[in-house]
Amino acid sequence: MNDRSYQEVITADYMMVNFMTADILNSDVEFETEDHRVFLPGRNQGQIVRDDQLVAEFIQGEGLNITSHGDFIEYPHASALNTHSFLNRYPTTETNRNRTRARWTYYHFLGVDIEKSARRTTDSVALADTNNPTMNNPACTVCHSLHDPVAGTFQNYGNEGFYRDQHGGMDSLPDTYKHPEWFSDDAEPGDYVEGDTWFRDMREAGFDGQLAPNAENSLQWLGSVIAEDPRFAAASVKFWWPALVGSDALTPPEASEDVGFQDQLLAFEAQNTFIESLGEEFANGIQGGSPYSGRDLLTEIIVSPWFRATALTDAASTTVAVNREYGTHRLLTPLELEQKSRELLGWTWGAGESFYQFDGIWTNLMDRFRIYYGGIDSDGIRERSRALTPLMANVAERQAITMACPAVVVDFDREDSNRLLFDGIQADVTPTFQVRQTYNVSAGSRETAETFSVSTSLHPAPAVINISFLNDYAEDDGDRNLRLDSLTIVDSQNSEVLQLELEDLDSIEGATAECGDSRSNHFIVWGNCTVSVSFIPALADTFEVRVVAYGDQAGPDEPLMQIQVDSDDAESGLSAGAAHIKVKLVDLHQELLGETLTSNSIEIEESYQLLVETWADRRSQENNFEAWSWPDENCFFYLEEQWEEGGVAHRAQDPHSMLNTWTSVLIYLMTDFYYLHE
Amino acid sequence: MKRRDFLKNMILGSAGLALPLPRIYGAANDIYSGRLLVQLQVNGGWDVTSFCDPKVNQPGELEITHWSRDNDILAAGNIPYAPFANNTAFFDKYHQHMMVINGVDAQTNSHTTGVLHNWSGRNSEGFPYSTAMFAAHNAPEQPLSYINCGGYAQTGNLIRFSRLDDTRALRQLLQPEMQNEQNNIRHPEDMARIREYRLRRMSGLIAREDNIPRRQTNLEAYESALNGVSSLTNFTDFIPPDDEILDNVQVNSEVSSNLGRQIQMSIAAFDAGIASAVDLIVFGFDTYTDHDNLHEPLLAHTTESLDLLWTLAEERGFADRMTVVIGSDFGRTNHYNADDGKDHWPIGSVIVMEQNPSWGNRAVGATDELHNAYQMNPATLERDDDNGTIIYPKHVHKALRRYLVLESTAVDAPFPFNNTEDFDFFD
Repeated sequence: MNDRSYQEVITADYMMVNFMTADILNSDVEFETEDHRVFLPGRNQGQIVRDDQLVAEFIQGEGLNITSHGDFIEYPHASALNTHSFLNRYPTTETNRNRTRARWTYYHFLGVDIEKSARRTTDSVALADTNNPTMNNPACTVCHSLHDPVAGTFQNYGNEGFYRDQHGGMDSLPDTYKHPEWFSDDAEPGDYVEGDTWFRDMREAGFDGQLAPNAENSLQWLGSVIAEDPRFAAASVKFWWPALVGSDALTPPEASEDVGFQDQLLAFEAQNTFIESLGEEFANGIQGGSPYSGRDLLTEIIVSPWFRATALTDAASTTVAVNREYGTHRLLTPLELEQKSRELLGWTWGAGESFYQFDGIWTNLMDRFRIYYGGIDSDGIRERSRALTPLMANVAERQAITMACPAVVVDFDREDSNRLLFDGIQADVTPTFQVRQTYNVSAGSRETAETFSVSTSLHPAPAVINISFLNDYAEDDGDRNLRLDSLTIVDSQNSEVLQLELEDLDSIEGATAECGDSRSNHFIVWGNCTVSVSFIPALADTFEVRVVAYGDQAGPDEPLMQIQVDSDDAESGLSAGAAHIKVKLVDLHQELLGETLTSNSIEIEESYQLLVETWADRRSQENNFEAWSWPDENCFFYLEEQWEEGGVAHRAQDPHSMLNTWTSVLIYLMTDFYYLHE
Repeated sequence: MKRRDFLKNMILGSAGLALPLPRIYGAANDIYSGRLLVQLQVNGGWDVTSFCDPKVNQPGELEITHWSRDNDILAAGNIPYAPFANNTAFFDKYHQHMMVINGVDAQTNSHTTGVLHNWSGRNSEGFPYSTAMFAAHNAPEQPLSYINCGGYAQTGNLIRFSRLDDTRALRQLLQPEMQNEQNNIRHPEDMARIREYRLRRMSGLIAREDNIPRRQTNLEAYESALNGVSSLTNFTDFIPPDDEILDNVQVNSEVSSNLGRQIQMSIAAFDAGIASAVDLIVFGFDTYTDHDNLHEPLLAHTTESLDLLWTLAEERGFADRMTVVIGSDFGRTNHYNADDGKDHWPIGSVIVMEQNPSWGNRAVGATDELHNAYQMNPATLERDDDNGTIIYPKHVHKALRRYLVLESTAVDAPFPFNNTEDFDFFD
């Protein structure tokens, strides 16, 4: 399948069907999935014509109800040319006579824009000619001699694209042509002869001077001759150019008096030389590969500087217009942005089942905000925006704001190995965090008190030692408390640099206690709270913090004590937590923005400072117990089970304020230029 | 009341049927208060012989208009019009406020070229639409300065266009951190901080010397977009409530039009002072078959919608600042085809409207009985078979640029109309 010739785009005797179109077309193709994006080769084996056996009734609100029909016909597949999408994208009329289809056939598969070739040739006198001007008037025949034969090859397809849609199913010629006398008493008899399938007052079906040998399969024949036309290969490059590079292939500037004409001409020539050359290789086999390998073609465009250029070098052309066409960082389309966010965060923004959507799914970027984000409706708006406007910037921001909170909360709730973004870091790692250790305090009296210690590197900047009691207990069978005797800090030489008897806590400068009280020879902590002591090292060194403690034993567990050392200088970014956070920021810049940076990069420092400011602000707020603070904030979880009892929404406590902080960082990254452009 | 009835009442000038004014909690600091430009693209090629360049059947010739079997040409003031569709109501009400330029030769029967030629003034790529030039010159900093409601939009890289669609969705976008009027999704102070950091990062990225032009262009576009978003916030107050947003109108058997909604949203953007130019579009005029039956409701819908535009502009107090240009790809043939349809015809018309302009109540340009364009004298605007010229879109655009004070500005200089006669349409 993957090694088929790209020429089959226009020569295949099948079309690509998904599970739904296969069903409609009676294609008899088995699908293992109902994913509408999965296509397999299939044939239209469900085509009927308007013969005597057709009985159909239009039912309002339901559509055409066919109760009887003749045999299915052998549909003459001409690859893309007679797919329903092509024929309906370019419908015709009784006077247009397939010329639109011919025009776009030339454009897509031969790289020829017939309309442009007609620009300066017509005048009102010529156009007033009523003597079949497309056959006889030179002002018209210049294009129509090329155009109309190709239109003729579409002879078997009616205005809406149905095969031989006229009564009897013998042709697609309108009755106004076949039987003009039916419409006017004065009408002269027409040229039509029974059995005709094409207009006798137009050129015969053909291409480039050749006549289609058989009306039955003229479109198949057209595909086969176009596939061998030397222009087909370069046209294929041009066809894929905008999808990959993000801009249409250049056309030659038309007015030499235009400002920048020479630059534009140079740019066109440079690009066109590449396209023509690549087209030639494509036809012969790129770098020794198979001729017309679509995969090789796309690869070759992608590895070319037209796609890959990321920076200007001295060797690069100095022509502005040429440079303008190099490289990527084009704006992602709504679909691309949606897919990117889904891959990174794990779900589609605003996705919900919808009976009325062709894919059964309604999403924010592809439905609600598609047009606002520069998308197309394939009707009046057929070209995607290629640069952001204020409104589009707000779509991106809305996406980031609504996705970031659940993305952070859900990801931190996962096992580390299952996380999508925040693997390797915990929600208690703050910008000030140095070290933390938790201990069971077994001793029940001062005499048996134990010494608990933890080591950490510190810079000569304010630090805080936090001693927390984590499992207070007070029931009829007893009262569990933590009793703190002393705090000692020694340096790497084992020299004592701080020694405090904690019964003196009230008189120690910078020391605080959220609860508890001083006793004669110790400090009692009677609730789940923290005692903090400041410390400023004179030099950078490794220090050991030693706490002598015991507890009132009550209830099933021993008192649980935590010693945590924090730097008091988050902005400096020198703490162990800061280093850890910066490593994660490096990861996030790589994953979300494609930037390869280090912890020392300016970009990481900027992201870190945003994180620190957000975190400090959050710590200063009162209502900061959870990842979001209603009504100033909300968190839109995307699965019902997440809201249900026991769901992640109920496990969103944020005692260290980092869930909330990471949410802001994620919003920042998801609205970054490199998130929205690739 | 059905939408169609509503519009009909509007055009008859009934009092008290105007849409309620939106709630206004505050005004933007840097709102745009200059002139406004609206272009209505009548897409597909309109039949001006049944509208503003009326033609009656001629002995010995194919029938040019069915209506002229039993009716004569009518006139409102100095402007002749065809007794077709709702033309009488429209021309009676607005003839003082319009100039009709007939006999404009699009020189093509190609839709693509016709659209390009009529709206850029040139039948080859590269020139911007007047709306794009106008917005780029007058209000480039406004977030929705140039609104394109569909169809084509040639910008000449002067400015980007915005589109307005679903109003409920739009409301969510104008203040993206808001869940509703009472609650946020993200704390405003957090968002302010994020936006400040983002702009700072953008400045750094833009300043990099090794940026390739495409990245540089897109970076600058994003920065410009970010700088413009703050003005969007106020737009919320100008958008009509959901239950007052106009639905699509089924104009004929083939065309469902949202022109009314386009107008509503454009008016809101003008009112908010965040837009300066708008391309409106109405589809479906390519009537190859059953021409009169398809064209009549389309023309009626178009004139009714224009009335809605002027009525709303008057209510909001900026009708005196608004210029409206109406045109199409080209005209339609001077005879019916076998399907009672009309094919493409290069000769069309352009209508320019303002509130009581000195150049109003005039029809200029001329065509013969079979709708062939006459040569016109640019100075006198009289027929001049010897020294005159056919009116082409470039003449209209050159005059418009001068009239809209775009001529010789930075947006005009790269797109000159060389060797183009000056038609004194607006003097």
